[in-house]
Amino acid sequence: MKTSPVTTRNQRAVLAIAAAALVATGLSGCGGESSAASPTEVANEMLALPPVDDADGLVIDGERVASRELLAAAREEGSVSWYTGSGAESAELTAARFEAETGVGVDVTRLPSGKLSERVLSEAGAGRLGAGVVLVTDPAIAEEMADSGVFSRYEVPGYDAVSDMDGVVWDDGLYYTPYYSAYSFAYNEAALDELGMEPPATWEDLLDDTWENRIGIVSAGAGGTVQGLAQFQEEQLGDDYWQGLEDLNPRIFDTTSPQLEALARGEILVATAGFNSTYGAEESGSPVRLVVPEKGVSGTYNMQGLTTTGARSPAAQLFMNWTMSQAGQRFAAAQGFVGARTDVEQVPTGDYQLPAADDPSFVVYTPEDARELGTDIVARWNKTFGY
Amino acid sequence: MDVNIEDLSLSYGDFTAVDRLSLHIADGESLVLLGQSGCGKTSTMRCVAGLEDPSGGSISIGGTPVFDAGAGLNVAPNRRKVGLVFQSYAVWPHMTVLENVGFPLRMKKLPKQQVRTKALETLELVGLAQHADKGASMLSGGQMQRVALARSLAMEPDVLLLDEPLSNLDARLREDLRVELRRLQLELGLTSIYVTHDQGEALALADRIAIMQGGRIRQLADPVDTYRHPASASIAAFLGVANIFEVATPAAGDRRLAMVDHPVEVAVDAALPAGEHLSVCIRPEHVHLALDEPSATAATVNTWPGTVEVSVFQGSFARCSVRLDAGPLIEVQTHDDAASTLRQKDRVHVSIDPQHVQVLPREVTSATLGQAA
Amino acid sequence: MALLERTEVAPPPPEPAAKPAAGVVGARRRFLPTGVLLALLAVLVLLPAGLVLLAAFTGRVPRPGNVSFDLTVVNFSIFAEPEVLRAFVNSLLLAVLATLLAVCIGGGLAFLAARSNIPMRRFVYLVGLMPLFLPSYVGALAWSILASPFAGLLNIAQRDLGMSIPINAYSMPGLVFVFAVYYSPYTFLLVHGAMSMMNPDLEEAARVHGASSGRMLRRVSFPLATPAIVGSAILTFTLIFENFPVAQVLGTPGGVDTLPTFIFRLLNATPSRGNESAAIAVVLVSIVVLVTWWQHRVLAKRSYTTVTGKGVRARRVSLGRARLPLFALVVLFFLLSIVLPILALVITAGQTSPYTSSISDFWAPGGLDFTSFTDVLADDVFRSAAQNSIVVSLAAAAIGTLLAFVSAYVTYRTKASGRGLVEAVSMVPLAIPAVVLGMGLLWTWLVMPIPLYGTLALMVVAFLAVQTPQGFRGVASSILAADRDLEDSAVMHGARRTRAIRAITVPLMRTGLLSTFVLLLMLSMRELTVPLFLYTSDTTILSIAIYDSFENGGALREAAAMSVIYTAFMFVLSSLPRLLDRRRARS
Repeated sequence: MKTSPVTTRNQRAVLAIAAAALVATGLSGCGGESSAASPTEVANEMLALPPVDDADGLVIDGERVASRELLAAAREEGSVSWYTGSGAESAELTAARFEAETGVGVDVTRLPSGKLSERVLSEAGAGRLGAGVVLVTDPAIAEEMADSGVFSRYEVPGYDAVSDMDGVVWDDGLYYTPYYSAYSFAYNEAALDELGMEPPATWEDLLDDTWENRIGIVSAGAGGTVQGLAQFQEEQLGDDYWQGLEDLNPRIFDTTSPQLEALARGEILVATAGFNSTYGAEESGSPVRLVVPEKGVSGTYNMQGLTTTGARSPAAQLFMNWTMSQAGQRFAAAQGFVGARTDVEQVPTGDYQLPAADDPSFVVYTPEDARELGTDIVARWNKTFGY
Repeated sequence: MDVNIEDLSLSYGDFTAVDRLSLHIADGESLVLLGQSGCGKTSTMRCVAGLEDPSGGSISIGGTPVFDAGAGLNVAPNRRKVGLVFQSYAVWPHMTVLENVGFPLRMKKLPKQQVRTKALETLELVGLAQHADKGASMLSGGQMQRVALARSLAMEPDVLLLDEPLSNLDARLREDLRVELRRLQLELGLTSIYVTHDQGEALALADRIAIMQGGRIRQLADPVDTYRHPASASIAAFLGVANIFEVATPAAGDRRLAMVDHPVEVAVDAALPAGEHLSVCIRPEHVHLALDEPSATAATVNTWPGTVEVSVFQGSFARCSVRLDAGPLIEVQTHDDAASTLRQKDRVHVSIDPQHVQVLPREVTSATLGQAA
Repeated sequence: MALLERTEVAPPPPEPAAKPAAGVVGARRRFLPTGVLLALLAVLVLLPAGLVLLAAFTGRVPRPGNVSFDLTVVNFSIFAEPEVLRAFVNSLLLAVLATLLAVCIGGGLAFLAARSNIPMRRFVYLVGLMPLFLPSYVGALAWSILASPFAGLLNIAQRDLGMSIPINAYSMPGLVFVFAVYYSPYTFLLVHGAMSMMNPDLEEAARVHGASSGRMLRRVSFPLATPAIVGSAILTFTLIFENFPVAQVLGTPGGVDTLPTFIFRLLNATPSRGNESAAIAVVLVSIVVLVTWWQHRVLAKRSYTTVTGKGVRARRVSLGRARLPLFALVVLFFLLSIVLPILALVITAGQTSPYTSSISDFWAPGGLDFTSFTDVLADDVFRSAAQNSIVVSLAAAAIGTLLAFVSAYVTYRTKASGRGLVEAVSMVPLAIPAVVLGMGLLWTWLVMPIPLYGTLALMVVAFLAVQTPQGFRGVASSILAADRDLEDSAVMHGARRTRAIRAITVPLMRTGLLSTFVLLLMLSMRELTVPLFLYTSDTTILSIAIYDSFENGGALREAAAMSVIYTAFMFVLSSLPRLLDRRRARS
């Protein structure tokens, strides 16, 4: 179109837009020195890296995790695709730790369990399941996935031993419980100091009038963990515990993260809280402290299984092996989970000592409970709290 | 090349824009489609250009069919070798004058140098060579129209179509360009179809004028004939015959016709057309004004007393409206100097020579159509 | 919105829309372009809407190999639950109140900027426009930091000063305020346009016929701007009514549920209650459709608009003694809408501890540490999100402009059968709240046998669907403004239709096409709700990264840092057209 002024102006405009785009990518390109520690470093701080020997298969801390063939094939494959419903931070740390110990990478796809199930079921239905291993925080979802043929039977090393333990192996190895989530409560240390208030130490302390308007809870409909907590409160702390909470005009959250944020900012002073995520926040500088109360801690199942896609993926199998190994169990415990294997000691989570899985003060909300009571619990909970 | 249109119809939904129209335009002829807006003249022209999808009929240019509803043929506009000068000029504002004019040549894939030479030649023809490198949007209306014309001429079309090309220009410019257009058309021997609603333009430019109403041609004749013998009262009105009065259906041999709305009788010379709904039509320049009482000796035929309502002096002539005592309002155009001094409420006498009184049917019917054409 | 951007950029090469067949008149030419377009739009827009409708009336959520057709109305029984009714009432009340306030703010600022002798009018104009650059959920995030009842910075500052005016963003008034502030630019733009282009003759006529300055404003000027005011009010209402992120960030902690947050919660509950959320969605759509239809009727009667577009200079009204107080109000609004929120985000990004006992903490040594910005910039998640955002937005804007051009061309420049339908379908997403469309798109692309789910391409497809109306309107207005003779003329002079479009129509429409492109780019960069349903960790975009680190990640500091960077980027992006425009005006 010749050299009409139009063309040159167009070019200028194109350049300008392109420049703007470049500024943005450039910004992200010249990030400079990062002060934050890498996930691997954070993981090492939580729990020192155990001795790893990969001369003949993979032996971590004296326990054989993979045969020579599996390890070679997994490293050849390079990475496992892991869909997880756990918290972002825990997913990141676990992936980093796995890679550090095995030399095999993890492609993490992290979604809330509900969305995760939607995605997995749809992908499976369309025959295009991307995940090699799926971890969900809700037994009901795992069951639904198992029913839809998402999982593939798999035996981890030492299968016979773990299958004798309570609630670790499901449907003959179709999926496993690698660890439990623990739930108790937490408080904002800085805010309480400033206000000159005593931190709560027992579940009963939580019902004190001082927390009126300043206590946070998460809606029982949000997922299995909070459902389990609701059940725990009713069963262990008394039928009127919910009403006691409601009387404090608590702030109700949809999900745990915003609640944790509100607690950290001092918007609320105390809150029922998940151990893993709250510990993570504390580690990264939040003035929050957890409590392991005498009357116990509520626990819920995490379920992880090898998928039909994973059956063809050595890296996925290695990931399953590692999760159920002593090293995997200890690392989970160090992050604030309760390891499912009762033959592995429960290592402390920072300066907190969670009860072991078979300790009576660890009250687990079982899949049967969820099936039989879940709907009823959520309905009554919603009614009590007008939610 | 000649253009032959047969039985052409075009409708948009329920509205019929062109109604079974047939027309032949001879090679080198300038045909003007004249009519009011909505009469179908532009639609007819756009059908020839290929910009419409006619619903029936056929069109051929130089003997080659370009549209035939029966055969499902509709040649794309860019393959018809038809030039079109748009009413809006449609000069591309993002190109220079030269680029505009060179466009059809580039479309013909002429070599660059030739494009430039030919475009400049054509610009010379319309007197715009000195503006060749100007941006087209910088031009005045008249210059744009010349660019549009040059652009169409540059493609050496078989037929040139012009869609009210002068209507957006002011009066002086319009008259200049009118002459120039006619000169070019004759010089280049172009077959052209010119669409306008301006009778002056039509008379000046046409070899033949086709007057359109309601999607059909109502009168087809050379300019002189069209001017002198409009085929109907409504065509007469369109051609500037200001005094039109409906008359009662006369008996055979009647020489005096009575107006329907006023107690006035008009004497006529010409033979009366057949049929009902006749009107007497008198051009304003054929009305004579007298300030004095008509003398007894003068013919008193078609002479009526009246009062001036408005008088407008226009230099070479004066125009006034006279309300006859008997009721009708007569428009008069006179070169008489005395008339220029007329004032409102002056008493005058109006007279009309019976030979200047035309008696026409109100509308052209199919019966009279054959006669007129 | 389309009034915002005026510039040019080489538009994408348009596809031939209506190819006049070289030889034959026929059905092909009449049906082919519209047929292809309608099929495309049906997949983009109608299918998602249809699946939501289907889900609302069946017992199962559509999933590959699991699409049920057993119709039932049982899902609608959820409306018997008092919580849903409360959410419904909240939504309506919120939308009505916030719209009223937004129209007052926007209209007032528009009058001040366009027609008064207020000091620094260009600044006032920018103040009216600027909330647009802050995506509403970033605004909401900032206000939750500023005005949460206990730890909100404003409340901490009050405690420092010994004051105790209750400020609570987690409440109905808080929501109304935040919505009104961030949705006021819609009214501002439309009314400003109407007021500054108002033919002064009409007003002068009023003065000549004896009206005082104030009476003239009341009786002539504002009534003449009525179409703009009503139009923007209805637009604002639908946008607020269907908004999800603001209600989620501010409403949920305060126990104020709205229909969109309720839909989202049901969908994310375990087990997911997709069918019931679809039922609520259908009701939501019905209301938006009703309002949009009414808007259509109101705007169709716009014959008395006086916008001449001839660049007339409307007369300025003297404010008299109110001049400075009004200016102070404008400055206050600027503080509340832009300065404070950005400041809050910057502080939050720099906070070394999330807990603040006193504002003076920030001045203490080590109180603020802005390495979070470099951390974020170095963060892989942020980088890939930024990259994804740019790639997706550029693609969506380019393809969207192209699609809009073809649709508008077929609609306005051809006689193809069904072209009216093309326009109608293009406008459908306007009536579908983003929450609903997101849900429908998710189901559609899970069911579709095309493997798009989990790819960036799906994001592009989703944005195309959401923004069809804005694209179509943008291009249509400029295609209508371009004289079609210009293109026909090229065809008459020997160019094929496609060539004529390329050589004539597209260059002539460059400003309109570019405006549309930039508008779509901005909208894509901002959009949160729809991608929220579709994103996966590989396809996270900026808006999601911010939302996710706030809602799911518990990383407020990073979220704040990202928000600041993102807002700066949006600001640059949106001022780009104006900069180019100014340069063009100079050249």
